[in-house]
Amino acid sequence: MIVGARPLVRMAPEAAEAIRIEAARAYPAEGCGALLGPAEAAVSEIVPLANAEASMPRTRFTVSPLDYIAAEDRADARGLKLLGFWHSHPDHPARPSPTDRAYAWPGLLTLVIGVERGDPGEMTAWDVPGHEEPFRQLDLEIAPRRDSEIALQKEPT
Amino acid sequence: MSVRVRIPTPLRPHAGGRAAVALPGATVRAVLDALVAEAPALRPHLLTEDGSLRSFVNVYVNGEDARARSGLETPVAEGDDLAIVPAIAGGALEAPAVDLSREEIARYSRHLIMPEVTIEGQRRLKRSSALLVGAGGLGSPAALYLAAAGVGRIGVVDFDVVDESNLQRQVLHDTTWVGRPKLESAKARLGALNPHVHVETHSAALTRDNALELLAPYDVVVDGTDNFETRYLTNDACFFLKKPNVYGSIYRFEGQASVFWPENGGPCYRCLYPEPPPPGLVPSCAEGGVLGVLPGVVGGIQATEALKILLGVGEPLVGRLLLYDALAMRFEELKLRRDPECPLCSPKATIRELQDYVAFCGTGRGEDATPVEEIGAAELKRRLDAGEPLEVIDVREPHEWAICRIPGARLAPLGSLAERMHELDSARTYVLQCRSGVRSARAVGLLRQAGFRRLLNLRGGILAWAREVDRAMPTY
Repeated sequence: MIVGARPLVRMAPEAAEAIRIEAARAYPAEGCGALLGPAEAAVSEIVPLANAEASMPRTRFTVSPLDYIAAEDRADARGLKLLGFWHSHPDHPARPSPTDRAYAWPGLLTLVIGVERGDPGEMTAWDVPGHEEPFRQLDLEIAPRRDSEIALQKEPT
Repeated sequence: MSVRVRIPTPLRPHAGGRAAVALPGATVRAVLDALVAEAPALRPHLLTEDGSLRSFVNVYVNGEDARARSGLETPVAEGDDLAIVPAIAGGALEAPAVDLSREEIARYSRHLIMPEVTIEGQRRLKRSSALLVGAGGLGSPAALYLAAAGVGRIGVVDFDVVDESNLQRQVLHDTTWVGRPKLESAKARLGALNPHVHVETHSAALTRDNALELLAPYDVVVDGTDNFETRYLTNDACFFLKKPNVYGSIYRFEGQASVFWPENGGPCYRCLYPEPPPPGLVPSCAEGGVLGVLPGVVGGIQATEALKILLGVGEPLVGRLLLYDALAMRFEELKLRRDPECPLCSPKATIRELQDYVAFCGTGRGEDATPVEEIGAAELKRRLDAGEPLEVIDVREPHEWAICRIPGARLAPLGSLAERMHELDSARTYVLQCRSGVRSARAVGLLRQAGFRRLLNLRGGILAWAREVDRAMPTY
């Protein structure tokens, strides 16, 4: 688990770009997907997922349980870890809503990207230390992967 | 006997880092009990204090939702794959944190045990809102069921008062409310049915000036209107606001229902009916009658669709027109496509704002430039008593004639009038009469085209006669 004040999440530029493309494509609905990486807090790639929300896809997103299983299988099969999920907030700020908090899981990152009039914007990363605790923001650094640092972050907590 | 249990990533630290474990058990519950016995730290993540599955946890057995089967009692067999799946959802919508009280949980228990609803869906209903346009035949059952189901905020638009003739089908109102505003009885009745829902009343006719403002604060709109102006207005306003419009209509023994929701890929009401029928061609329920229970069925279908939309479950009645024939007791379904030329919802749209619906539907002054000359009921009575050579032609149907008639009137139903014109003498003066004055105005137009000139329309029809001349006459 990530520890300390404002812990860092590192993301590969390709993954960040993929999120921006998927979020713009989903607009005006919310887009979503899984975050995969070789270690805690190191996102190397994403899995785009369908927003299974039928009635209010502009302001809600849902990942179907079967999509969750498939994303996790994919991570496991490739020796990666399912680190969390991203979703977009069309024409809303890149800040988690009370709805996001209600569904947040300790141990899974919540990454939010704002999309304004179709243009992807700010991206922020969050997690919840416990089921009853509020979101805490994480520093998000979009930079190529450096294996030595990932190894350091892999230290158990 | 052992089952493979998949542990989701966020819970693996509580299960010794394992991704899957093999455990014995004949039901989901037995397997999960074995799991938490082996890894007690998992328990608070999976089960509530009373041992039921937490609402943010799904269990899938061989790719199927256990909640859709028998929940924790779902049987499992050797070699089955049991996946624990965290619910992943969220979104920008700032939902106020709502929770259900003990009373609400008891009240909605038959919902909560359904996998398509659950406590999460019930919370969602509580957070959601629906607007009923009209508290009449369709609005009555729809409002009752939406309130009973726990939709948190229910708006009702109406400006009418309860009339005795409403009670045969408008089950929201009862005998004690005759003569009082429908909104007052709606508020009292819905509040008594479910004090946990908030009922908002809007005492107004829906117009182009207030429609957007009235509809905007609601998640779904239920169209229970009885006239074309309001139906087109509701359709257009829902389109501009991107809201689902749950449509229903009724006449005699026949009903229709659909969900117009271009935002969700479906057609709008204008794709189905680009233009309203000529005024007077399609009789209203007031003119043609309606089986009292018919709006119960159609309004119930509308409530069902509204609830499905609010819950986000099932297949909405989008792009389909459901036809119900109560006499034959048959349902039929027509496929509805978006009109690529639709003036409202297609790329070629020409309508950019709400219109003048009275002019659009031709229900204002009428399409005939010559105004129909009218006579009042009291005036007709006076002139008949004075022995003037007037003849009253009643253009209603024989079964209406059987209920009440003006003494000395001659029956010639509107549909047969053209064939029977030869019975009339164009030198005489005729007073055309129906129930309320709408059909008889059409009759005046028909006769005028045939060359008759001395024609009067009884203003307000036989209803006016019953009110002003013969108060003992039964009306309908």
